[in-house]
Amino acid sequence: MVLLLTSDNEMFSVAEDVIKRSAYIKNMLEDVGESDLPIPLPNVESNVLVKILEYCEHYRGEPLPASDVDPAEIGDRSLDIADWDQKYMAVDQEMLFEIILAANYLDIKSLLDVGCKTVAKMMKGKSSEEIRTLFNIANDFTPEEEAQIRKENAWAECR
Amino acid sequence: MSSIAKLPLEVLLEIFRFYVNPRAGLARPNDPRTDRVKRPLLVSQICHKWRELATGSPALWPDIRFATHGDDGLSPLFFQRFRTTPTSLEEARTFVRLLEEAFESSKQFAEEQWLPNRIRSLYLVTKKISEAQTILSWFQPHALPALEAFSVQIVYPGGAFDMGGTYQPLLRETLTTLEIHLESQIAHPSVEGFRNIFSACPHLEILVLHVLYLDP
Repeated sequence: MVLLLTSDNEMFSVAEDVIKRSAYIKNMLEDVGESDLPIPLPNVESNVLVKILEYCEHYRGEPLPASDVDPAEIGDRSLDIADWDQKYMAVDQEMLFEIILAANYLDIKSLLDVGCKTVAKMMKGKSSEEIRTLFNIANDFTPEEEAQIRKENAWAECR
Repeated sequence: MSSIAKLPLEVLLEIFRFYVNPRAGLARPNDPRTDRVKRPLLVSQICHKWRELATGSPALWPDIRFATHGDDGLSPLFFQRFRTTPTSLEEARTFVRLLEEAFESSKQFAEEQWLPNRIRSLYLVTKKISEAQTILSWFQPHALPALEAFSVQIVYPGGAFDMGGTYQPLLRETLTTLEIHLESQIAHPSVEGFRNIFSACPHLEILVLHVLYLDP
């Protein structure tokens, strides 16, 4: 078993083959070897780690993805998401981004991909204003920049 | 602060890549996939942070697309993403200027930043075959070595149509998609034209011939 200590000081005891889906933990275990000391996760809160472990548990036994793939080299980036992953990602926005952050920190590539796809799918078919509203992003463009953007859109409409 | 603002830039870029899906195939007019043209634009129009990230990521913009018909302007953003001099590029108004400036400016960059090396698809709209021939004749055999998809749309074809010969300058080993759209006149490509295409493009997977009439 592996001990994990979250940022809010909760201790989790997790089966090694479950948490090894995290390349970060896997590498740490390989570098440090057997240890009774907990691995601190200062960037992950307990409620988020529970969700992460739910994912790792679900995919327990599935082959780990190759670690030497350059994400920029991956070809077609379909937005298809498996049914279970879609249900797993049906959380509020706050948790969705926490899962993505934790997947990035823990280096769980497949989970990071599902998270990014989920966000990309949320953006699909929306206008820039709708995307700003969706993610609560302030429009910080100046009137001149807005005029430039209108020109760009007029250009794109001609395509 | 919005939740999405907490994401590191590399993760945000990953989301952009999924959203834009720059390798999804060549977009065409009146095709839902034309959205792909607008998606990189859209992510660059949300806020300053997103704009800088999107315009600084060439992988989101893998297409050259331009028209000598029905369009006399090109998006300044189109140029911005190639990191060429904005003042001179903003003056560019036609494809001819774009091409000349792009090739001119490319000489100043190191090999890996060289504009033609990043382009994976080229989409061309012209009025006549002769215009397409003139434009294509500017491409040297070594130009656009990463080109995978080439689409040409000729609005008023007219004249002789030599399919293999017309597009010869861009027929190359890397090409997996070739689309030829002739809008208003039936043309008769020759068997020899097909032979040219297939021998020059051994990896061709998609060949779209729109309004072409094949002799029995």
